[in-house]
Amino acid sequence: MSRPLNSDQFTLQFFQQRLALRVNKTVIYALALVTLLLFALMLWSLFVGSYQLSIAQVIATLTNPQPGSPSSDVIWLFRFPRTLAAILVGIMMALSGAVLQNITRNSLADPSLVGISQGAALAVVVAIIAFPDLDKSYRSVLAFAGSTSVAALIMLLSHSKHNHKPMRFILLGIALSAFLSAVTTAYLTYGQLYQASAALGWLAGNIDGVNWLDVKILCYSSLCLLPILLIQSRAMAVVRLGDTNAIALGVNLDWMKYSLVATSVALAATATSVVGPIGFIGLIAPHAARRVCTSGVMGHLLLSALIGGLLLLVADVLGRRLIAPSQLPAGVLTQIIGVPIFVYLLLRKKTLPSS
Amino acid sequence: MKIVTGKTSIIIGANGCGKSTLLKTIARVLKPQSGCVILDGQDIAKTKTKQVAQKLGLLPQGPVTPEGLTVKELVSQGRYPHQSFLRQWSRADEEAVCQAMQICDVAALADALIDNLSGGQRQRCWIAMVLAQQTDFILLDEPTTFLDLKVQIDLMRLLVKLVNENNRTLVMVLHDLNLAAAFADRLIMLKAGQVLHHGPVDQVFCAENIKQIFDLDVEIMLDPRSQRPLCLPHLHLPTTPHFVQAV
Repeated sequence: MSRPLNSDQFTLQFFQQRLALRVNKTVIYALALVTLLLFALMLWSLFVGSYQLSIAQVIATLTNPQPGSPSSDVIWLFRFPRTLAAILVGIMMALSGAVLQNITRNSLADPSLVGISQGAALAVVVAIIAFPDLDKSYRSVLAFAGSTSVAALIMLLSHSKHNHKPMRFILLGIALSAFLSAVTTAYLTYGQLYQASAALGWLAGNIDGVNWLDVKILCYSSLCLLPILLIQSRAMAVVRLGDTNAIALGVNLDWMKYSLVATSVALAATATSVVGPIGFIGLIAPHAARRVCTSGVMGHLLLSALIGGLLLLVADVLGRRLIAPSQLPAGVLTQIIGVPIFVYLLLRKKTLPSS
Repeated sequence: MKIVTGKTSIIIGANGCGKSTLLKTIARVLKPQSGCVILDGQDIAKTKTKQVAQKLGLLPQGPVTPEGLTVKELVSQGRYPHQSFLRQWSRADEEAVCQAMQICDVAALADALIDNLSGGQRQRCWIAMVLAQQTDFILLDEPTTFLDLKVQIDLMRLLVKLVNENNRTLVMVLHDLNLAAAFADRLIMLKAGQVLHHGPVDQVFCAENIKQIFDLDVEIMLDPRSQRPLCLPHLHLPTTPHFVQAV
């Protein structure tokens, strides 16, 4: 049963209102549109690459995989996991940024700006240069450890007994991230040239070379972490009104903030550990989603996630095409595409309130 | 100290004497260093915060509205303590929100963006948000600050009407002594963190008490129209003859 509420919202009520939800139509349309775009782009991503395949061949390989044939190998072993990894990493970075922005009430919060990515970077670079014999698979673990310990350090430093200071979290994060970047650069010049170039390749944020295991890691961790965010999304909407209001409305503020920061860090850390630091997705995707979804939090989270996935996939596909047969790392492209988009969004925003 | 239910209690005191601190402690935003707040026979610190939020609402001083929120969306947030993950928007929520917007006279602005409203309208929206929470106790921290005198009076009349008609209990912090004396049933007078006087307006609003609390010499008079007490501070200015003549 549904009934109109006003022009762009309707409510769903089932089982004598034991299940009662309010849905924003614009957000549903936007979600559907981005999902369609995402599927179209996925197909394109499977089609694009140095090994020439026709669309018909791509579809034939997808519907009827023949292991061992070159087209099947190219798609199932390389392009498909790469495409999925790009989408998943985009989703995770976007969600991480959206949550950080929400709870700190600061639109500059982004995992790649507040030191979470830099923590992962330092850990991996140190490992590549100090222990060159270490197996590649340990990079994920190290990156994860680096991110989480930096996040814990920021939380510890910015924690004050009497009130929450979101601005302090951001500023400490920016300072720490600058410090970590400097240490990483210093370490790079200290190492051997071949080691440094291996480290630089990882630092650029490269989705090239992911395998199905990576995709599984990304997929399972998103599936575990997303419900936490969705369940907390109503409380996040209330926290946007300020901490005092949130407490007055019955939000358990401490528990909520810590669980959400932890979830946000876990998302960014997992994504970074698989593909390296990917900048700006966590900043742009939530901003772009906010233009459509001005108020609600759950719709905003879902839309941010899909836009993030879309953006990173675009970046990865462009990275494969622009200077083919060479490839540009997706992490570099997100910065190159991301900054102009961000400036555009900021400039457009100024005209919004008067309209 | 006891808050009398069904009445308007107004907390007054000099700057920095702990008015807001007292209000926030009652609303469990701050933890008391000693003592406790009892609501319906239960220690507020040991009650589930969501349960407390169904009985007690607070509007802090100078709340900041996030960008892009409409009036109705803001007022809807007041329903948070009555909702759950599966039950996010029931008919009761819709009714409470519409009613709160009507009482505060913002129903016509329901789809307007808060960013585009005036200070008085904005404050009425926030009060509607607290009303939508449907709590017996409503705590307000200086709801009239920065508003025009006319808007201040309208707002106070609205709040007092609410107490009388819906049997709610109002506790608020006010700066303006005359506004407090005019609209309060009871006054709570604070000095340096201590409640010095607490009682009905006609008993505690006297020159000695105000001298003690604010270190200010005043004359207490009665408003000829409403018969409510008024205080006029001693200005210690030389009288200007031409002004007297003009009057």
